[in-house]
Amino acid sequence: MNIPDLQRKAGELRLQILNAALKAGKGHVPPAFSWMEIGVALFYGGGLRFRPSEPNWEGRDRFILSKGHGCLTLYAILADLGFFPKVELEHFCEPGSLLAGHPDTNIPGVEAISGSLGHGLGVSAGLALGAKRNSQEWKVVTVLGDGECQEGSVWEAAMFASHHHLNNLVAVLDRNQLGATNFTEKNLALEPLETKWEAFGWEVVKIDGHSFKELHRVFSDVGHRTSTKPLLIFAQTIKGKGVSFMEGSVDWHHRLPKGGEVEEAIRQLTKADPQMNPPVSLELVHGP
Amino acid sequence: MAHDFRDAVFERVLEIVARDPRVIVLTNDMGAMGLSQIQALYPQQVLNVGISEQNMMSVAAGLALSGNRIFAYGIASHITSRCYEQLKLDVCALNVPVVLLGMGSGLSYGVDGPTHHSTHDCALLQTLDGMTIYIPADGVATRAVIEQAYTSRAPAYIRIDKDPYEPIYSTDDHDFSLGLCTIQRGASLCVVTNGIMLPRVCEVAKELSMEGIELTVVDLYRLNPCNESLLLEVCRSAQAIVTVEEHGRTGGIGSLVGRLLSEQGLGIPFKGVSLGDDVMFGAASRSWAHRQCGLDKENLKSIFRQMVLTLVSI
Repeated sequence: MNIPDLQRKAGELRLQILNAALKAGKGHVPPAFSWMEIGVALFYGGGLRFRPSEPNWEGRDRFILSKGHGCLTLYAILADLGFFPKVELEHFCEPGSLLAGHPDTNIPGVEAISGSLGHGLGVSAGLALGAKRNSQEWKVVTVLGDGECQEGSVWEAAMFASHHHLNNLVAVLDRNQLGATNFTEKNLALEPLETKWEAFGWEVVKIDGHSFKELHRVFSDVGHRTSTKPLLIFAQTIKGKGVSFMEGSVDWHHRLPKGGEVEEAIRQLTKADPQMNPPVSLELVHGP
Repeated sequence: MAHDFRDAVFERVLEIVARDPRVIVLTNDMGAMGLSQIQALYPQQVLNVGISEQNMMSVAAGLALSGNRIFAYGIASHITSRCYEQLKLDVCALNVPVVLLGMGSGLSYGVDGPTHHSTHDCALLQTLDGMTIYIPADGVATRAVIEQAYTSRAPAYIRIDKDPYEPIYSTDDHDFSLGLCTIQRGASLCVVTNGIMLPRVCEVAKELSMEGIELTVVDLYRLNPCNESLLLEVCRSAQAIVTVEEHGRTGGIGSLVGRLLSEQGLGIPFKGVSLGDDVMFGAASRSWAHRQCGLDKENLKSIFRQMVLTLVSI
């Protein structure tokens, strides 16, 4: 896909996410919007190798969404690519349905359970070491939340990955500055975060996490790396990206819009392409 | 002659490592002579992950997902409770072949203090989906259950004692697939136990036999999943049951047998002898703590005798 197509795809998926969350009456929409471009660049922009019709294809790159609460973006992508029927999104969080509020491995395309933070990087490091030991070509990509970096286990895994020169491991840090209820710098300061990752032995590349141009460049470079270090893509992002009143707000972690907020969110998300489908049901805007 | 459990553990692990290059032994910077021998022979198959138990289990899961089979070795309390969530979500929920080799069951590390006591490990791990728990009493059993755990390609925990053992099972061809073994039969009382308590119960049984009290002794070496039908079969034929375990009161053999008897409506007199659920502060040596909790030989003898006398009075 070219950049306009990727942008269009991101917009379309944001609307689908909003739709699914409103229908369910729950869901972490702003954390999902935060890494939308990262996800779209990985799955549609050539960042990952995969086969939707064969989710367990041995040669696939392994992708783990460590910040599991951002799963609506992953669900929308996997459904759109045909890992499972799109209709599942309509049943998000319905009792007995496939898609819960955090991802699990019953979902085709999901490699590990996540949502309790601080697990994904360790599992990814184990996978990456396993791939190296078995001379397998696939790489491992994991998306970390910045609040997640307050978990000690992240740093155990970071040490492990650099110690074992896991240059087939890529962690994308969704640095949106916010945890669940506050700015990370206000509850438990992470800065200087880039320096920390470098000190832990990682190569760090800082980008705008919403720029497809920059994402494309950094993911393209992954295939030609000469460094022996694991790679940390420090993606500066905006939580709630795409809806102005959600963006960068401490109030919007798992809050859902209602009434006029829904109409305004739709207006903003469809601004670039008013014909964008699928539209959010007006019933959801005003209540049944 | 006393033997070291670690010799049995690493003897069998070495055999498995030698025949399966996919096997990797992880350690959280915990050493053992047998492990050093494996490392010298197969350096690519031993990995010291440092003192990082949470990461150890996540890495174990990742390595297993990429086609490897893992033994994770460390002090029992550290590789069970410190990393409980990693065991729950990364190992058990993904059902990957990771076998925990927990050194220092119960109060093996007695005077080292509560940080090293592993007295609720079975309670914790029993709640994990698909986690098999073995508590072997001697080298033969240890070698057998390690092989079983490896062959199962599923999560397992082997609770290993740090103190020496006296052989219980005479040959390596004993069948350990049933999950429990009736060591001896007697009409007076049935005692269900495992691990380091088994030889002590056998010794007590021998002494009480001279008083005319005959014990059935059951080695419940696989606590989870328990072979409930076979255990019930044994229980049904007993006049009274005592469970003996070096584990907290909650979540061990006593909890299990009590539930089974209750569910089945079996009104058989029952008593559980175990450690308490409290933290043991100070230098709680194993023998001292056993005396406090009634797990020493004399107390056990007295408890068994009392149970039998109660039956007579009924």
